Amino acid sequence: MNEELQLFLEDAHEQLQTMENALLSIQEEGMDKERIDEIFRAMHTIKGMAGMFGFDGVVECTHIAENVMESVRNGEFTLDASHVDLLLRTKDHVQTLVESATEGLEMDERLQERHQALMRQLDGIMAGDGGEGLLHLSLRFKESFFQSGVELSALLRFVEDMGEVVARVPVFDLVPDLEAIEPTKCYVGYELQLRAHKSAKEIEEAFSFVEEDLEVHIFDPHDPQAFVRFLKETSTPEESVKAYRRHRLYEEKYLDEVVERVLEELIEGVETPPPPPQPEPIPQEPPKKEERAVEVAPKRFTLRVESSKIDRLINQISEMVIANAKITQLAEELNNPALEESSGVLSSMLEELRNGIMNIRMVQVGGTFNKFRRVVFDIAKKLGKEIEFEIVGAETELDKSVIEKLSDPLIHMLRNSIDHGIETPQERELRGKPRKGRVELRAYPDAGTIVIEVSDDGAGIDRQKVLQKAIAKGIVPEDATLSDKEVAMLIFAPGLSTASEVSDISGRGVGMDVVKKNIEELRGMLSVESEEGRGTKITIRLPLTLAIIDGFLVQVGDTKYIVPLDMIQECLEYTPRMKERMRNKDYIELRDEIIPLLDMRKHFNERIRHDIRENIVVVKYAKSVVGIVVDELFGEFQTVIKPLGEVFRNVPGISGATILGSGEIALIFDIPSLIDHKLRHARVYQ
Amino acid sequence: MEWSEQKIDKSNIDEFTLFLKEKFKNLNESKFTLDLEGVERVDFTFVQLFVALRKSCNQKGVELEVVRMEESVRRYLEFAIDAMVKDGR
Repeated sequence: MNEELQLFLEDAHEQLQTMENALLSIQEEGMDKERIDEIFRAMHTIKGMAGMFGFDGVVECTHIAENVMESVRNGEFTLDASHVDLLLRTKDHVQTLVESATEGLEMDERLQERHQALMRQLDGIMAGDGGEGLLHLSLRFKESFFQSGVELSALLRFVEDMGEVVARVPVFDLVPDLEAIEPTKCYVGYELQLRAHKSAKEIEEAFSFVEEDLEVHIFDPHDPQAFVRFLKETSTPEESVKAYRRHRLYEEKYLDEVVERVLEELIEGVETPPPPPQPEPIPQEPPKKEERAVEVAPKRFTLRVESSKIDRLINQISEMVIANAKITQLAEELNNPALEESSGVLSSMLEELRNGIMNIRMVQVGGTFNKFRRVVFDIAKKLGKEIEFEIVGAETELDKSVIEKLSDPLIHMLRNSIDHGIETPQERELRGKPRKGRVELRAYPDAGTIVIEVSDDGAGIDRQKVLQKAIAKGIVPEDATLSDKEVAMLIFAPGLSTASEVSDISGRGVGMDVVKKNIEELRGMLSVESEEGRGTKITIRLPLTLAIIDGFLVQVGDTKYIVPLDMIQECLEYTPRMKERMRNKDYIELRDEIIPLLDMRKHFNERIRHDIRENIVVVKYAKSVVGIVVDELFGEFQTVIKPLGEVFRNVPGISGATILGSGEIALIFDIPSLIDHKLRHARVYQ
Repeated sequence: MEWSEQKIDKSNIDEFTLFLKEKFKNLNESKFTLDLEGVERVDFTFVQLFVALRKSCNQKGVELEVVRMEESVRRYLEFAIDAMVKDGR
């Protein structure tokens, strides 16, 4: 869901909550101008916002409700309990419509029917029928009824005093034939629809004088839940449904749906919630707020939590992971199977807990990316450039703290793209390009990382210009021979700017090196591809999260290391035969593919052990695959990433450290930089 | 064999039931005629019995004909038996 929709959803929820509070307040304390205004404003506001998004159902419903409230404001009628009940149902319905609409869902048949029923009822109020709601009365006369002294037809006439009877359907299905009938026993029933001018409770009370000889059910037939509840409670549900179908009291589809729900609930043994309180004249005892809250509770809601609270939780889980590692180690040392089993269970639970908490921190990048639309618009306007800005993969999720730290670097890259990359409309036309330059911000997941690309179809990086400037600034020696990629990467060098004019947009050369530093602090990597005249693409590759990762514990010499698990492709034994085959060069052939090897013992000057078999951990990052030679493989390990101290912070190939169960420190391999090192070395070597 | 009382209600519904059952048992035709001449007042026990009679006739494929029915009785039967569903509900 994009940011605008999210804002609309949140705003609508707030407005609807205000409406509900006002209605409940009216229910409790009677009519109040301020409350009426609040309800009117809530409907009016939601209508306006929904109109902008083209949510017609929401607009239709809020429009009618707004008209109702306008009439109330004008004193054309006063709200009674049945109106309040109807408006509360309207509020619930609008909430459902808003949630469906923001999720891009169309109204299904059930929602459509409910919508139409509600519209009719709201229209009914506007048509001046006083908002008398349609009630369904189901009467089942008990066998003893003829002994009650009450004439049945008189009772049917009595109903007419309570409102307009719009349907009266006899139910004679249970009347036996002439042979079997006992004529003093009553077998009949009636189904009535009543546009009542009394509340359901009042009508029910009116029947109290025959309550021992009559089963009465009164419900709002347009409330499917009430309908289902009735069919579950009545002694003759089949006969009722037959009568409705025979006389077309309700639409077939609606009846099918209700019956289906009854069957489902009976099969599942699901209890239908108790009936909601029936509307009462105001002031009367209101329905309990708790009951109302349960009844109208939204299906989904968002809870805003300060991120520091989640961070604290993650820190605590991190400590628990470390503590559990100690227990696991202890259990192994003590050779205690019961303890080992318990620590295993605890490990699984911690992993689930960790994943759950981490998932809370994951947010869609679109929320942040959308803010850049305004930035792009403003910069383009200021520079007189025409830009078509596109966001792709807005739904991609990333740790919130990563996104927060990514925001400024991305803004800077976009500024650079528009300022340095995209040409003026005139220049573009001269070069046969469309007047509008295209800038794209794309995000997608790839092999345990998130890739973010900022690309443009501008002039591209001027290799000569960048190189000359770098030489002039002493960033590279005059005789340096650099590849196109290496030259392109110079744009991240401190103090380098190729902009001929320094603007407040970019060009002071203090931005891109900071961008690189920020990305690297996030354990991310930057790369640049550029083609003169065609455009530039800057790629950022980021870890999914910063706090805890699934690692793979290995040993090299006397030191333990962690390899991020999601970068591992496979592990294999480094056999003498393999070495022999490749003549002890730093390569292996794996399924017809030559893979460069990086011997970590040599790389980190670790002790070479001859007493154990060597292993290769094949890792992949972006499109590069390298085999890392290690001594021992220990297996998966939940790794809490601890930052390195000042002294070790800039050690190449190490991105952090973790604490093992034994209390030992294990260093975490920085696979991207190790691969980068190996591939550079291999290229020079070749 | 005809019913001679002016009313059919719970005070004499047992007798009227017996009367109908007897008449129905001895039916030799494909039509059952209920002559209500002189019956000025009925209550719901009669309505229910009438429904039971109609059921039995349907079961046996016999046509039910009601003759010489007072207007008040007809109106009562209509009110009790006919479904009423208003348009534009």
